[in-house]
Amino acid sequence: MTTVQQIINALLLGGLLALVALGFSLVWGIMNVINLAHGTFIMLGAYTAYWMFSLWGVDPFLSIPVAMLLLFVLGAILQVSVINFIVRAPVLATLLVTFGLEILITNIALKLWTADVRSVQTHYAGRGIALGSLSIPYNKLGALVLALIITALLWLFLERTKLGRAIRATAYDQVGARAVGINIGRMYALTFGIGAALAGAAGALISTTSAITPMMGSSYTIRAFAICVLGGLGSVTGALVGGLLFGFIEVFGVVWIGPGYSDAIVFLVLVLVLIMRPQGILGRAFSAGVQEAGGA
Amino acid sequence: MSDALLRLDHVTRRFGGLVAVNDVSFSVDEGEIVGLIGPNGAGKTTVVDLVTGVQRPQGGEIFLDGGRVTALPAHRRSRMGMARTFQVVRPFAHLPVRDNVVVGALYGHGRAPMREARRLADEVLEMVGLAHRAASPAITLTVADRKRLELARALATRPRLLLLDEAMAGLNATEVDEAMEVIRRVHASGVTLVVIEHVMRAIMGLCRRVLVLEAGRLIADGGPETVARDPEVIRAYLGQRWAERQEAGRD
Amino acid sequence: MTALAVPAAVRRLVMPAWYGALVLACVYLALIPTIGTGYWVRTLTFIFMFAVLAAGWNLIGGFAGYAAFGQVGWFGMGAYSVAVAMSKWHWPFYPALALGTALPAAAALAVGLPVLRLRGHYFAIATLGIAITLRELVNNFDLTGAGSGLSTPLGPSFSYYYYLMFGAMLLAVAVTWMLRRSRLGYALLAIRENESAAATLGVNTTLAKAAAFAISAALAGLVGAIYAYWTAFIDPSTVFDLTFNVRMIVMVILGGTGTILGPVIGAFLLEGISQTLWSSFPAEHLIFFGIAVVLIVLFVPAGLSGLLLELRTLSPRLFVRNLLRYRV
Ligand SMILES: Nc1ncnc2c1ncn2[C@@H]1O[C@H](COP(=O)(O)OP(=O)(O)OP(=O)(O)O)[C@@H](O)[C@H]1O
Ligand SMILES: [Mg+2]
Repeated sequence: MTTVQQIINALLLGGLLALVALGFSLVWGIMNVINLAHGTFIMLGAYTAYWMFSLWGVDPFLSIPVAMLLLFVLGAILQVSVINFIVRAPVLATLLVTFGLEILITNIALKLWTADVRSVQTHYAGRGIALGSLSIPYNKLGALVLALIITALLWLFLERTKLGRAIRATAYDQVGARAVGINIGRMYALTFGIGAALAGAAGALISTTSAITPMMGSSYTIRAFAICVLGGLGSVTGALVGGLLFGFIEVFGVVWIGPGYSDAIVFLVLVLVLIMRPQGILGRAFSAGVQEAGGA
Repeated sequence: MSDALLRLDHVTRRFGGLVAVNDVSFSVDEGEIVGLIGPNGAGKTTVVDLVTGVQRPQGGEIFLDGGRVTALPAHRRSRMGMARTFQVVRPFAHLPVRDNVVVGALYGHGRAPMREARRLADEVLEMVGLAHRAASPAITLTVADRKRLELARALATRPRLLLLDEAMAGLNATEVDEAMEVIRRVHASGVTLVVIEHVMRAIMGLCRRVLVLEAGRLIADGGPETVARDPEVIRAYLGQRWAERQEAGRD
Repeated sequence: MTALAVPAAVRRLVMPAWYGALVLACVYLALIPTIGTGYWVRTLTFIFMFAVLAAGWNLIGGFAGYAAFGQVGWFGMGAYSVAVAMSKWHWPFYPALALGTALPAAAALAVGLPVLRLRGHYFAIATLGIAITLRELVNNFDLTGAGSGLSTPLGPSFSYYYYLMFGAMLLAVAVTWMLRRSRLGYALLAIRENESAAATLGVNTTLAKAAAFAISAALAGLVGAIYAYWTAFIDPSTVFDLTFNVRMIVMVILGGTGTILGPVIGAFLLEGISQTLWSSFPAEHLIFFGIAVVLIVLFVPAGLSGLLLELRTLSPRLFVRNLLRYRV
């Protein structure tokens, strides 16, 4: 494989990974919650696309809104019924509760759908644009484009709408947000719902390119964490840059070190970055800028 | 050269654009009690942080007993005989008061064995007047008692040089007198002291020598009376007081 | 909450009874292989194993306050040390056991020095990363049988492993007890409460944290090593099971963080329930386990020792208060 092809692969993967990390980053940035169940939301999004495809023949790309809606509802319910009670508790409590949810959701999925490995075989699977020796698979290209569109939409929502600003305000200053009449619990439900919906979208996109199992989630959670650390916590651009960097690290890590080490590579990079640059490489927090906006 | 116990040589510390400690040099001889005063935000706490290794300077050197300690971690300096209290107290909140002090006695300069450390802790608690609270978790102490705990913990390390960062803030007049008495006894036992205090009575009563910081610069160094007459010191303090009066007048 | 401010008079009255009960419990447990069924021997062996894991986590997580989230990495390392030493190099068990304890401790010391500079979420995830990385390394090396696992030679009877695990548990409790009274123990508690204050009092915080991390890794490695010999076959997914991390932490929380017997009590409760569920609902027990984790953290965040301290005011309202404490 040529280097140019590898760069293309890295970009395709990186765009998708950015979306994988986006919801995780939003939840972390706004609520300071590390959601270890994030990967299970991706898994559920992938199963949504899988079942819509295999039962009714719906194209996975068209399942995205359905996956997002379902996961938004699930996320909001989980936030209101569980996470809102531990948002301000010590780190360990949020880690344990979200991991408890991850065990719970994964095992319900196992019970319902067994451990069988599934995949979505669209008629365009395996086909793509060929440029000389280079190839760009349609499904990966589509996933990249949609991932970028959804990322851009989230950015617009957070920056340009009143609701988006209200969400960011809860991260910046809870007391102040409450004082101006923002219901924090409801904002958090919205935030977690959006985070889950973004994971659902990522899952639906992943279903077009990768195998689907109930256990697929955890490695995406870890990647999301690493991407946030790499790109800088809690910002849309951070997730995007971190995701793209990560695409390169994974693709070239496999080329240089060998397949089967991708998680080890993720962590080596993660720990090195954490130790050398705890604030990440770049990125503006979701909450930044609200102060000026509010003061103006 | 004859070695002072503590010497700062052109020490500078910046926070972004702000120079909190600006090219400060002074030395403290063994056996002294030196006052360190200055208006709010002058850089007093930062000097203590730099001396004890909680922060590192961007320029200059710090010497203990003639040996360079500028880059040593805090625990090494403690072991060499430095101790401090924190202006914003940092108790081990969920540990009993006695265990707070035992930590200082086990480590620090004295590094007492366990049994000896417990005995020393009780002795120090008695001295600062906290013996009756020895078994309570530190989190239950009043503000004044937390200040006492800071002092007790620092003393339990058996320091040679003790820096007190506003250890009397929040105490009433009688309590200040008691604290001054304790500090005199500590000094009499051979500990060199640097005392930061806004309570002028305490500074005047304890120190033969006073250093004045203003906006990160050392603007005076001398006997309490000389310093009090120094025009620059008067300007630093009056300027602040005038500003305060104007603030008050506006309300 | 965390501080055990039990009045001295109550202590004097309760303590002898308490120690007596503990001794009786130990004697009873020691007799189980002769009087109990195979089911109980197996279940209790598991409980002892988790008690050691929980006690090990308690040293770094409960004493030093560093939320390690990858202790299963050391467990797996201990297990693979024994499996490799016995099946590939034909070592006898005890030297292999020593290797399985020493190697994780040394590794924890080495990675601990950089990783223990991180705090909060970052430390937790970095330690999780260590476990995942170890699993992947094992998955890729021929020496460790790659993904297909390794067999260890068939050992003596099941009661042999029972006593080994039982001994390991007693050792873990003894280590915790001694540590609590030692210089290092004081340093760790001080670090948990305020690290910079500990440092200015002369505590070499880096060294103390690394020591606690290494001891906790040694304990995890020890039971990993026994486990490998006990089950006679290990593979990466069983000895690097990430749910173990959560299990041991929830046990410590349930029994009482930073206490001496809390981890053991938590292990008996949680693993007891877990094994019972497992035997009656083999397919669904993890669903219940997930629910249990969430409920325990929400309703009894200070564990049983916390409940004991509020015994006088114990009422359903306490659980509601726990639940509402951190609500937004
Ligand atoms: N960590 C920090 N980051 C940024 N600025 C800081 C930091 N610590 C101190 N400063 C600034 O440095 C200056 C000196 O602070 P310092 O606390 O040393 O003053 P001080 O003389 O102890 O004041 P006070 O009498 O109020 O205790 C102040 O302007 C303060 O705002
Ligand atoms: Mg100060």
